[in-house]
Amino acid sequence: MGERGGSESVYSLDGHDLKFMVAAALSWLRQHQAEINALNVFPVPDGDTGTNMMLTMTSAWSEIADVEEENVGRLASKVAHGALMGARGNSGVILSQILRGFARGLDSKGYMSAADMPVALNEARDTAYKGVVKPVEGTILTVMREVAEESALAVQETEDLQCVFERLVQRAKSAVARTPQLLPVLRQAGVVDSGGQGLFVVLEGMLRYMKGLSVEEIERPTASATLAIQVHEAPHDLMTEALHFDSNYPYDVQFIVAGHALDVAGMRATIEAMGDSALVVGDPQTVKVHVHVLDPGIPISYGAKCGSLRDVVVEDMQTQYEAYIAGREAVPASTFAHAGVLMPVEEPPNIAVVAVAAGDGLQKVFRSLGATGIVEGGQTMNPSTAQILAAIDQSLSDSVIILPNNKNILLAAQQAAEVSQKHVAVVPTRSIPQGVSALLALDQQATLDGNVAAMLRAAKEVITGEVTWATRDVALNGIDVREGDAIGLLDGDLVVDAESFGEVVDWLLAEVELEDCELVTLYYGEGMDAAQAEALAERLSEIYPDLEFEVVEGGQPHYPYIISIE
Amino acid sequence: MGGHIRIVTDGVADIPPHLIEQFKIKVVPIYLLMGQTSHLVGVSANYGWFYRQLLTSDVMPKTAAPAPAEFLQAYQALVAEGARDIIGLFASANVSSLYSHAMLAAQQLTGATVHVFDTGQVSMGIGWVALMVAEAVARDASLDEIKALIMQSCARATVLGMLDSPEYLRRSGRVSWAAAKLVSLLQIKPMIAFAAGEAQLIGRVRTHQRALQHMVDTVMTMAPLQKLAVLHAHADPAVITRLSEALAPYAPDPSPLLVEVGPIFGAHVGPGAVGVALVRAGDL
Repeated sequence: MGERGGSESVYSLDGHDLKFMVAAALSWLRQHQAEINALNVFPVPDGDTGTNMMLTMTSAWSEIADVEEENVGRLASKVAHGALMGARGNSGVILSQILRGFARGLDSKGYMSAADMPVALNEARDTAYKGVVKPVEGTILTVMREVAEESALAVQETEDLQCVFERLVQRAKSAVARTPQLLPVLRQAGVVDSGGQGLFVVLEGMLRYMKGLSVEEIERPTASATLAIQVHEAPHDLMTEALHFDSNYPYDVQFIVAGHALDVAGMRATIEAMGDSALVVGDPQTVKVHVHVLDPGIPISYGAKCGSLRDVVVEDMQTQYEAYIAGREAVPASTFAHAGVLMPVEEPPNIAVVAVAAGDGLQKVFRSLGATGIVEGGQTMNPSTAQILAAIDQSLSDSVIILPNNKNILLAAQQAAEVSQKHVAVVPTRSIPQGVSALLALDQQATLDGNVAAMLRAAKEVITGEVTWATRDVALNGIDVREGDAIGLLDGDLVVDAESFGEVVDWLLAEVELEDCELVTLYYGEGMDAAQAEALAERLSEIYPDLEFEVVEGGQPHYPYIISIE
Repeated sequence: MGGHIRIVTDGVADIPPHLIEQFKIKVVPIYLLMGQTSHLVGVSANYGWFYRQLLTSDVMPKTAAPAPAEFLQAYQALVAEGARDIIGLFASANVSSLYSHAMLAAQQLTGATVHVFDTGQVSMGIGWVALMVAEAVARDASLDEIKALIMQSCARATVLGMLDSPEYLRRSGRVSWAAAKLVSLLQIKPMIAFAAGEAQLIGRVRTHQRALQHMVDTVMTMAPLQKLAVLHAHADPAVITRLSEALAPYAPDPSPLLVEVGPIFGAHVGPGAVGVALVRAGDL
């Protein structure tokens, strides 16, 4: 790529200069792509802004990469055409509109002087605003508008294009920084507008070429860094709003119509009436359409009537949204179930499952596996029939399965089942691992009786180890136990007494026929921490290299470890 | 008659290269994006590079349907080879836009008629339908017979997949219930059945052994079978062998066809997945 001197003043730019400026803008966008993508935290997964703008610019560049064109206006037209063809996402389409207006403003001029800048940029601004059906301030549009305004001011003071660009970049930067003041969603999410930031990067890349600075280096330019962008998750009410909005128009439809004498304004009016977020841009030969609709067939059929269709993309935003939600690892699914509104409204299951568990972690595990009712309780705190009955009655299904997960709760569960008006069955699980295994085998398509049999079979396929401390002196199974000793039980039988809980786990595993086993899950209880449990798992996996160890926070009282071996 | 009916399918179909060659099936390749790198995936015998990259990097692969123009080129190539009727068998329209692009292209073709079908299938589910059609073409079946065969085989085809982790399917965003049903606090291997355009969660297990048992039990309920392939996405060879041996009694041939699934399906099921593609026996 060519390098300019940088220090001298620039009074005109020709096609060759513009070509290098486009290359510089593309290169600069590429480097800042990830950072722009990171600004796209609004949970309508409409694609990544940085990537979309970069790909749009790439398409513009491919159009001119092999072209030697001295005439700046003609080169700008080629750039605009390339950008239009490759435009992706809202931000990419608006960028292509800006380039298109800019080209039209230059009007086939042989070279560009400072005086041409306001004309071209005003046209760029107008074209950008026209491309969007309902322009919103605090976006790339605002940045474009301010940049155009700045160019008019700048050319009154200087004829040096480098000075003009310098001012445009400064103005773009401050306009981007102000976007959160104009657009509440940005403020709530704590970010600046990503499309506006992208436009700033484009202009800055061009300026760097004029100044003879490299655009290939990896280091961040100070201008971007000083924006002090804070990226954090959008607040809850924002996400609710987004879900609401999405479900009105769940499909994101994009396509290009090619034809002769296409009526762009007429098409825009028609498409606008079909849905939301409509963007209809182009020229009489090519029109790019982007719209959110209820039925994707409607705009596609309409487009096919206007001309021939290309690059048809239909995306299900609800699915993307759910994937987005699910991707937020930090927030377990159960939290969404509580929040209610955030969860897509689902039919109640055919068969509801009520599980008895103590400890936050274990309750979350059961919820995440599909249990709809949780009754607090466990080894030392057995829930009453009434408590279990209340959970049965609260569930939205007529058929309910109860997982007591403890032999001392079995009877209360059976009693609740008898008293209830609903179809209730008890799968007599005796431990947490058995309950988990049973729940995994639940098949919503099968009958209640079929499920009870399958779930009980699954429960018996897992071996349960429990680690606790002795509450009194006892001699059992030939083992002498002193009060306070660490002890281990295997499927309910006392098998080991040892110095420490870790040692008990060692002995428990040694007692099990591990030949056919693959996975050991350690649910660590109240008072233990993740690091201790991880260290234990790591030590065990050295002893048993063929076994996989998984550590899960159980939070159960009185039992430092509950172990599932399968 | 020979040569006048040709078959075209897409890069999701996972038909082994030797069968593609034997039956002269045309495959429209699909774009696979790995970060900044774009690959065109059609027919290959070895996808180790893809799965190794999947396992060693954080890049989430994305797939993109080729433009209608690329389908048109494939049709035109077949016309140039003398095709009068082209049977297009494509991935389920519920999960991809391949079918609609293939349809758009079909309307623009001159010189031959393209009969485009939504197989409602994925991977070798499409592959089996295409191969059954290829066998019918080879025995000079009429167009009407072929259309009836397609209807029946699509209705009887099922792909079962046991995923080593639900992550890839969930992140692909192509299965609407994935987020709600696959997120859990424990490692789960989900078993998915794909039939008639719908993906369903038919089981959740935690160990390989139970995964295989579940798979064999499910296949057993679908026997007798007309076609059976064991699918794998860079899975442990011992697991593949165990599954293949356990399923041998249900295979119409001495043993099931072994198929390594390509990056397009593989990107959705993730490395380590094993499965089967089968067609239940019927009258045709």
